[in-house]
Amino acid sequence: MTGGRISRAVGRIGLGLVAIVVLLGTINVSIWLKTKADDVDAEHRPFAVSVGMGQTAHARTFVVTAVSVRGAAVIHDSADHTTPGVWLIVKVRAEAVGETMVIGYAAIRDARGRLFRASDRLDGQVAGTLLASSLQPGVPDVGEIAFELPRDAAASATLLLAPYTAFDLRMDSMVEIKLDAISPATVDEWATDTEATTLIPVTVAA
Amino acid sequence: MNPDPRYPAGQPGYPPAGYPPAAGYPPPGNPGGYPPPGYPPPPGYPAPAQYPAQPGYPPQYPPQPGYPAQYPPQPGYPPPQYPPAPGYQQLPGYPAAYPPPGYPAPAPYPGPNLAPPAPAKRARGWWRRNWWAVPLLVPLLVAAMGHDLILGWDQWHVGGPTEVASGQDGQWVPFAGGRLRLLSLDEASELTDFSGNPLTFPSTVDIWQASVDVDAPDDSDLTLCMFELQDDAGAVYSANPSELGDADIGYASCSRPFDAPEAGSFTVVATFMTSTTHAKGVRVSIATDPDHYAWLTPPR
Repeated sequence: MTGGRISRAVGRIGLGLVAIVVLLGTINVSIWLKTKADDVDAEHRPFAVSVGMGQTAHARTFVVTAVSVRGAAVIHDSADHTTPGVWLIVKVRAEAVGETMVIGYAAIRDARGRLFRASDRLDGQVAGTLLASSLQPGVPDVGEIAFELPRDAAASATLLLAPYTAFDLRMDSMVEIKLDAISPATVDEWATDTEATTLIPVTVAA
Repeated sequence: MNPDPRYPAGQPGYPPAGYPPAAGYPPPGNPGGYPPPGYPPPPGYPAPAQYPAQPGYPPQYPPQPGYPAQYPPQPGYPPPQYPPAPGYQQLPGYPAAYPPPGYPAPAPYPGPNLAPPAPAKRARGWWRRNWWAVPLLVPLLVAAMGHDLILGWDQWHVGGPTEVASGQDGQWVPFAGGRLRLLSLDEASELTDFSGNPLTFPSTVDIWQASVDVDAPDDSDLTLCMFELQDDAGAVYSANPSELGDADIGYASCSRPFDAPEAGSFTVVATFMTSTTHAKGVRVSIATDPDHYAWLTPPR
């Protein structure tokens, strides 16, 4: 082997070593960046489907529309349920897509970002109303979901709905319905109304 | 032996007819041509123009910028205004100026009757240089994505039953330690509440009822079964829908009803609320075995 060939071979080996070092360095930097920037909660957050009041949201496993909003100070089922805040009651029309499902998760996010889950003080929220009902594909149901809120949270609220399979909200659709703004006067009127109201039962929509 | 293989041995017309070989000149044929390079025309011999054409003369030169593709026929070498080819001597009486006025310097000329030059070695392309790395992409791809693929498959697999046990239409299907048979799958004509009052539903809703024979030991896993109806479009409807909570129908399960015989098979009725008019069959699954389900089709 001539001297020229030897020097060329050494040069190629050197280039290969440099390439390996650069590759390993890149991988190392990538791992470091991933470790520093990883946010599993953000990676696995639900996929938001945002609509307004009266608009239909198409989630992966269900279709839903917020029909109307009302409020009350007392809700009656098997007993009267009062609140120092206000009951926000959202009427919803929903149906499953593809297979039977249960919405399961309902919450209100107020203007300050606070989350209020649907109240479990009411009998119907546990079983028998929309939140716990099984929805059938292509069969729309109409029902109401009640939230117990501080008065200032009711004025500007966003309704969050998601399937709640095995208490897992990750990486599935979450519908976000921006409810119509409610004036403080209206909220005060609801909060001082002593007449008890009841949630409508779940019915199949025509 | 011909010391210069570029020149053919023996030249026709040399020496010219009637002329002896010139004294002091190489013997005929080595090198060819007349007069040989470096030799002036021998005295008393006719001028070169009188000699017949020589093989390989004029040489076939490659096209040169600004030069004709081929030299014109002889007599005369080199042609007027053309430079001599390498290996040929500049003969007396021809233009000394080289290159001729107005012509760029030509590239070096090959000698006459030279073998065509070997084609230049082409640079190796990217694929030729890197083909060996292409098969490595397969294990690299597997290494990069394998974990996610396995994880995704696992998630799909546990997301619902995927392994089916099925049989002939209306026949027994072994499943979960027992066996099942779909006796009928029909639209329900009328449902009533517990007071006997008829229930009404929107016209877009169809109520289906499946009668299923269950034959299983009372302690088998099958007693925890769940029924689902599947329509032609692939939509799946669970039995015991919430909307039929007021209907006077039994809760569909594979547990032996209190009024069923103590041994042998028994019949359960599963009711479904659907938006379809084309039910295809019934799926039966159990919570303790999320991978499997039984697919029951009605008798024809």
